[in-house]
Amino acid sequence: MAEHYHRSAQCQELLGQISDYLDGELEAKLCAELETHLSSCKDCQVLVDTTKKTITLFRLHHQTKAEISADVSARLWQALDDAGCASPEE
Amino acid sequence: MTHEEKSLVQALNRGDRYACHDLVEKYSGKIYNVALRLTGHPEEAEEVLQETFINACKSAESFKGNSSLGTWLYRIATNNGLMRLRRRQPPTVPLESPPDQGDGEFWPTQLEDWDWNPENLTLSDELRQVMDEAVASLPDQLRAAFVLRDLEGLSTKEAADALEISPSNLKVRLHRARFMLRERLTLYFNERSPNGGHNNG
Repeated sequence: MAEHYHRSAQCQELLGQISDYLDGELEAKLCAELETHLSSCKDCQVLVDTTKKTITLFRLHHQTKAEISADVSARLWQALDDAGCASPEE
Repeated sequence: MTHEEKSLVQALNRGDRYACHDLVEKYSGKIYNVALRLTGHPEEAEEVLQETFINACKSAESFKGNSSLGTWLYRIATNNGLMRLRRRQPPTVPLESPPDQGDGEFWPTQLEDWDWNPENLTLSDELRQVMDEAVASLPDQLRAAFVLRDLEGLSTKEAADALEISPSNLKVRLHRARFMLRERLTLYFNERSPNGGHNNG
């Protein structure tokens, strides 16, 4: 596997800012510096792009929320009733 | 805290069983999903779900109103889930951490681009399984940050409040989680690449 990340000082600085950049939480000046660096650094472009794809893929995968089944719901109400908290009849 | 939340908490503090019922109706779906993603096991998620609402309904006085009611419930559920994970033996095989440079920063080792187009919204069963295993293999604290922020969509502040850590600490954990997952997915895509994992020349 390739391990050719060239680790320049700029790359090093960029690495810790990628998440903030992708979340839109990086301040404007740093954002501009980062984008200038990205325009000339292939490795960092790949890093940003694949991190973004990672987030997209996981959000896509978890887009569908798990439903609470009738059995799980019944046991939850029973547990709450046993603990003196609530029951579905109330 | 909204007016509605304030009323609900006051009713819970009076021991009002209807209030507990309302709380469960409103938040049980979200809490179950967090528990499921955190533990990776339906049975454990169900136990976390029950513990969370029993804790919340019996200890509403511990809610100080510094966060939203939902964030407070996420905090209880995350604590319960993490406690279960700590008790679990043996843990799942952890994802290999990217090399630490001594300053706590990870360096990526996988830098090939992926043979995957984000416009292709179809995820194979195999890829879904790889993703589930990758999340399950994250260190517990990183997984909690990733689940709350990226999968549940909480803001940085909400996720930090739920985990009782600072926003900057939350960001560090999230960043590491994303990088570890990125490394795992890069391996996956490169193993399936026609040019054997050297997509970017």
